[in-house]
Amino acid sequence: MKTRLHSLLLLLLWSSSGLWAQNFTISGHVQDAESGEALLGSAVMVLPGKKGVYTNNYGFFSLTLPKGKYQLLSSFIGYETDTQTVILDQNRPLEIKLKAVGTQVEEVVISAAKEAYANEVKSPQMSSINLQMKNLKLVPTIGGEVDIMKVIQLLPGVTKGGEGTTSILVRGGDPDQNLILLDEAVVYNVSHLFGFFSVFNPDALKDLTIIKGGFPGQYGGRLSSVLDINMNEGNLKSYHVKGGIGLLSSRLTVEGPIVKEKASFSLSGRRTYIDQVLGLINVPVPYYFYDVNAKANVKLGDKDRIFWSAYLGDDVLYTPDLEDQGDPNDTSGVGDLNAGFGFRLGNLTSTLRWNHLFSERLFSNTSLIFNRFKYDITGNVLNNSIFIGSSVLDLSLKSDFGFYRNPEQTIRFGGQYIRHRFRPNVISAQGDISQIIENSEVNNIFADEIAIYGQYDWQMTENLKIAGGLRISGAVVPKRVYASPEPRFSAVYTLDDKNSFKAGYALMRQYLHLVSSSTVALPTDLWYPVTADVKPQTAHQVAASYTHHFEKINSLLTVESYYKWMYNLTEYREGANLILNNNFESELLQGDGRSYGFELLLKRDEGRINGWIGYTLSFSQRFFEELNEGKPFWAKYDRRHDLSVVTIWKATDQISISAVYTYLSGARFTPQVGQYLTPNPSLTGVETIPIFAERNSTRLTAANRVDLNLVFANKPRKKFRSEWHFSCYNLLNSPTPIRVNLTFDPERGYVYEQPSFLGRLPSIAWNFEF
Amino acid sequence: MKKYIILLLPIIFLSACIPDPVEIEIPQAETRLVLASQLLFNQGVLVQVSKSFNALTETPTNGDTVEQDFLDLLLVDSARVVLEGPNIQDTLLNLEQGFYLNLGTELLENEIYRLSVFDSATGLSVFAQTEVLERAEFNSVAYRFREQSIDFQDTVFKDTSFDLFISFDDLEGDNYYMLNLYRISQDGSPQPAENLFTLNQGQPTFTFTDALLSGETFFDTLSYSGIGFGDTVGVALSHISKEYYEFLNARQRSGSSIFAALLGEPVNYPSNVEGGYGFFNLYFPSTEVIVAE
Repeated sequence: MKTRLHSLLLLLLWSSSGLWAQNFTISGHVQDAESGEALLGSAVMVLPGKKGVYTNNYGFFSLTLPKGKYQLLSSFIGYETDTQTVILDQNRPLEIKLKAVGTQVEEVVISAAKEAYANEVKSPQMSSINLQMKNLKLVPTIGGEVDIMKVIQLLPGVTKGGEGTTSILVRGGDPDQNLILLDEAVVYNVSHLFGFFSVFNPDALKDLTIIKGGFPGQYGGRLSSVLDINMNEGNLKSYHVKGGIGLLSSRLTVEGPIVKEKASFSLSGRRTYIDQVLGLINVPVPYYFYDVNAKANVKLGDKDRIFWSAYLGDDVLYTPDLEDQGDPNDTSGVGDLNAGFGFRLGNLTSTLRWNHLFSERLFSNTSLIFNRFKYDITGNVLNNSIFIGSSVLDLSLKSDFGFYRNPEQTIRFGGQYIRHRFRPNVISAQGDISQIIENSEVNNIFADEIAIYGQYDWQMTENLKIAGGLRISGAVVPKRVYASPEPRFSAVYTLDDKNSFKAGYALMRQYLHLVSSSTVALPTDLWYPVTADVKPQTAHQVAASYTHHFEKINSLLTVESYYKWMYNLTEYREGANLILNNNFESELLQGDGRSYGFELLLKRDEGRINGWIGYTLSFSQRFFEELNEGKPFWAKYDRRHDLSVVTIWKATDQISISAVYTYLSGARFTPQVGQYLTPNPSLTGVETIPIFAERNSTRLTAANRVDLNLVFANKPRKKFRSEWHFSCYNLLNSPTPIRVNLTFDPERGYVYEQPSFLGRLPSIAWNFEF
Repeated sequence: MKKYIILLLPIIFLSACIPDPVEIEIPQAETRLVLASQLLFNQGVLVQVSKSFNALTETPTNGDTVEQDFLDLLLVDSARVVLEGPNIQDTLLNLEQGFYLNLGTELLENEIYRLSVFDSATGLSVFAQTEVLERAEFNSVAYRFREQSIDFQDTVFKDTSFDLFISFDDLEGDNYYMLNLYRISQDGSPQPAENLFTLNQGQPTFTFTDALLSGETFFDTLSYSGIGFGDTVGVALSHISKEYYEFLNARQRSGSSIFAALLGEPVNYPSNVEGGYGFFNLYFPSTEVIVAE
């Protein structure tokens, strides 16, 4: 009897332990076989049936499956698909290394893209586009160096501010409604040279993702989009140098292992040098900008990894002392003004990240983030000088967790705390000028932003996958505390391997806004927090899409429609003067808006001919009681049609030809349509008063543009790789109107004319890598 | 490949250009009547009626003055102008040159008056109403000259600023005020009379609101560099409507900064004329004359 009882207990113990122990976990990273860099968003699927997971922002994946023998398929755009057999009888670490494919192996390329597209069809993430930097480097550019902000402008749902600028406006939103993250640090000012160039050195970047709707819970703080940019981690295996010399700037990147396979670095620099070159022939061009990107990482055992990354960039305008520039024969000294003017503005960001694996299924990342944007303007004449400075500085702590319960269920949660310090308009005047200009004291304004979130990704049935979450955000500002739940939801219903429908809803809140009335990047633009009276901006967005994988032509089609309601948007009173205005709050108005539209994206990421066609039909309106006599009006950048065709043809292993065609409806403006004479207030004469049409009632003429890029590379397989880029922006010299002028024609009198900012602009650049 | 590169280089550098500007047609605002008015020492009302015109038309001038031919096109001499109020219903006398006059009627403070204008030549009509606001009186007007100097390369440049000190009692309620400065004579010589159609040559105008006023008496110091020793200066204080105050401020704001001109949104100026433009104002100025010695 005793023996039988022991046997029964043993059986129960064995069977119960067996019930729990039947599940084991395969976890690890997917990385580039050559460099060891993590591949973000690559798929790890279990064959057959292809249920699986995607790697997170650090290339990590975790699959918990019953004990057994499995075939794992790993895929990523631009890489050979990897298939391997795993016998799962215990928890297994697995480092998957994917090989990049070249154009010479077309079948392999196509196969890799097919897998990636099949996975994209099944992903519940919608309104999102991921771009790999290596695929963008052939897109035609100004100056021979790709500018990611201008590439993003070619995507559906994204339009630009003025021609030639780097500002983006997403789904009818405003320029300050985009959360732009560089290795998790907010970049407040993305522009160099008044918006002509972006601050992102392409050689320093690995990939970027833009999310326009269906926002995951970990993102918040802006209404319209998230642009998540990742810097290169640095090659873990060997040293590499790459760079480029263009007409306007040059850049250099060095990367390599610090300790082979364990720690690596990447260091990039870029600077314009037209000031130096023309300075040699005594032509003063007192302006330059520079960027420095640095990143390092170290693996601390199997469970921990530390990343550090930083960015520093400035625009510098300096007028040399005019003392020596007068007439040398002039002894009066009148030309000796001791005059100068200059400004320096730029960003500094730094991110320290710690990846930690609590278990095979629980991944965490904790980030300590610092970022600062500031501008300093200085001027002096004779014994007078003035300094004007403003800055915004953030210190942030962020923690994200991912619990990979099984291939069907993933739970993500985390939180973020941001301490903002705003220091607006510090003015210091010396000399006689101080009698006119009042010095302002250093006045720090602090604001705190807090957010926590949770998200549950669940493959409910074979065809239906949902991602539901809640973000609770808040801001503490002087005399007021704001808090709000932000529900997020998205779902995908797959009809088969090639077709799916997706839908999503997101509520977003924004606790900062840009004090600017223009999309031109001015040195005086400044961010400011909400206050007791200025309420947070809020947006509800719903979106629905259909995705189809055209297997025969290896392309992915997405058609998407969205509707967005926006509340407490900010605009400025008519005629508001925001320059050096400390009391700009009195000029600020809040109102509502709505935007809706339809987007189409047909893309082909790999193959000898690749690129995309993007089309957007959009509408964006605003309602402000104190503007336009309280009547609804169109947003300034309400562009009805936006078509981009990007084609890259890798003609041979050495020659590539790429072209971009864009058609863009004109931005809106408020024209003067009449005038009248009225007595002046002192009744001593008359003055002319202009009559304007309804706000933003008229469009600039639509613009067509063709850009071209020819790339001649040296022979492949050489260790030293070099490329000549011959680019031509606006090849056909088509008009690209930017504003309306009243111009006098001797024969016809005054006429309305629309000048263009940029015409045909050829450039040449030489890029190298070894 | 070097051949290609050598061939492409000159083509690249020689082909840069900018497209010609593109013309655009913009529908113009329809013509409307424009009103202006002034109380004549509370013994009558003078109203001016004119028409708005195309934005593409440059105002032709003869020297500083708007050309008569152009004025003939704008000024409305074919209108019937009717003023109505608690103590008046009068069709104003047509003085030509767009002016219409009521004389001998004392308008009552705090009463509302209505103006109807119909132009038989164009069929255009407008309507406006305004309240005769209580008159604001100066408590005191004083002045001083202040010398400013700038030392520039061992040369001292001097300038004289005219500081005007004014005070007046704020009236009950929310109020808006306008102060105008006039140089009546310069160095003892009378200033030539200004032509009413001199373009953009206004005298200095200052506006005030009592929204931030903590006391009951308004004190302010105004600086102006256009007044010299020996000049005779007229100072006029008017209690104006909120709409007219906003009009004056909009005018100042839109032209106050090069940034506003380049980057700001256009300003649509307020008007109290239904179906037209301009202002129907009935305010009493209080005046003081000082000889700056």
